[in-house]
Amino acid sequence: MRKEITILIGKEECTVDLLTDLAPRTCRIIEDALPLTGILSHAKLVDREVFFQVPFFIDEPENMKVSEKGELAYWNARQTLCIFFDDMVPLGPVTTFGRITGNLAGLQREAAEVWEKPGKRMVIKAKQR
Amino acid sequence: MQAPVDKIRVAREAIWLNEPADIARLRTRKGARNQGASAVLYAAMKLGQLVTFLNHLRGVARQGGVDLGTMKAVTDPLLEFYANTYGGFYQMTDTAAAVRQAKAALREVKTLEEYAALTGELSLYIGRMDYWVDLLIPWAKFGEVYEQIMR
Repeated sequence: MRKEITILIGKEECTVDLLTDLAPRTCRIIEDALPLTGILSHAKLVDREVFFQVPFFIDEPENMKVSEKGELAYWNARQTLCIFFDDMVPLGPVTTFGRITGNLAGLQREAAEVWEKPGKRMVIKAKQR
Repeated sequence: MQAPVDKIRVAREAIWLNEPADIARLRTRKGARNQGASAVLYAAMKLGQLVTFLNHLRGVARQGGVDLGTMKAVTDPLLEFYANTYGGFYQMTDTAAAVRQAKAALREVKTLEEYAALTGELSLYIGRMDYWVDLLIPWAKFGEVYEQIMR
């Protein structure tokens, strides 16, 4: 069954498909933790990636892959949710659990500002039906 | 054992979305030539180091098959060092207090599971502090100036 969650950032609302078939345990942990509010930083080595820390560990890696534009991943080395919002060269495989399917352009507009102005808030919440 | 972990968790929750008082204290810290940038950069480095150590130690404990006494003996001086560094060098007295709480609680740890819970909670706290300090670093401007200077 397709499961969606929502990202709120600035004035934008974006839809994320949870990859429940590829990362079922991770998706369940993320769903159980919603809503999540994060204060965004921009990645320093990877371009076009923003992230925020989450208050939990996900110790079992799942769907480890090199992320692509529009994907969401969990990085256990620092307990962060990483949002790869545009073309970039990632550092390596991470637990990839979501893919942005709605309003990627809006997310890109907001996330691109984080390099110049870090500290923007992002909320990830369950999709309202 | 649960009480000290809960205490650090409560302290961590208090700073999760609200800027910690330690950030204002760190901003008063001046380094060489009366500038604050080096203190902020070094504070971030020291916070990140402890998170790396704690996460790896926690991972080893979770795998099991290691001696708890050795884990504690390795961890205790690390916590002492970083508590002194955060409080003494960077005026981050609340962060230093949290590390000292964990150090005191470490003596009461009886199992590897308790060890992992304690180091995990402290790691989340220190990680959060690290990202607050990261917000003080003007990375965009820093990158521009660096490229100009190194040209």
